[in-house]
Amino acid sequence: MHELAYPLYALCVDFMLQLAAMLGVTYRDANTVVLLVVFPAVTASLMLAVVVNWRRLRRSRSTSDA
Amino acid sequence: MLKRRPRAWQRAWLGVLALVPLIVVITGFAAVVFAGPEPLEFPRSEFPRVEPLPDHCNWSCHNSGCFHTPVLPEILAGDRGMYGLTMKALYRIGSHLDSRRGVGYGLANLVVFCVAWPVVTYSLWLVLLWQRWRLLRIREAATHA
Repeated sequence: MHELAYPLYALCVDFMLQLAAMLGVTYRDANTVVLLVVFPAVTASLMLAVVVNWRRLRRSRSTSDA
Repeated sequence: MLKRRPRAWQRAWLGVLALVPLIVVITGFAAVVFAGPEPLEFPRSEFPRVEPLPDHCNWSCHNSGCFHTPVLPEILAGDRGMYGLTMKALYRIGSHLDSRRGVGYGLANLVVFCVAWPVVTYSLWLVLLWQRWRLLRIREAATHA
């Protein structure tokens, strides 16, 4: 488990350091933007879309049943 | 209600859409990691021990803490902001995964940000696609009824 986890974790840190260097921001900024802004925003948008479509589906079913 | 079979191109399109997030994330990740300006070694057998640099971050910012001033506001990137709270939470989760503090923290990072959260997000994407598919089928059936 650790043999796989260690290089994977290091690769993720490398990703954040590369991203920080590309954007000209700090390692902390890159972490914050990706993990605490973009990631939650994508998940929240998907949740919202799923709820909206769930309501549409429920309405469609009740209309077709009537 | 008359049930019509979905066309082959519709099924193929659905399959492509299901793979889009995986392709985008993997390609984006690889592009940043391998095309970025910092030297890269993969796979790493140990964390690089390097001296901190004054103008930009390197592995010392990960190993010993980052002394560079963040661009983002304190409430997001500060020790008492979202960043600091997340670090504390990850250390706490990590303490249940491994008794060694750093190892547990690393494992918690992987479990939360590389496994659990992506699985939830990708599942939401698949559910959304299924819902759109169902709505399309219902609309087509209504049109051809």
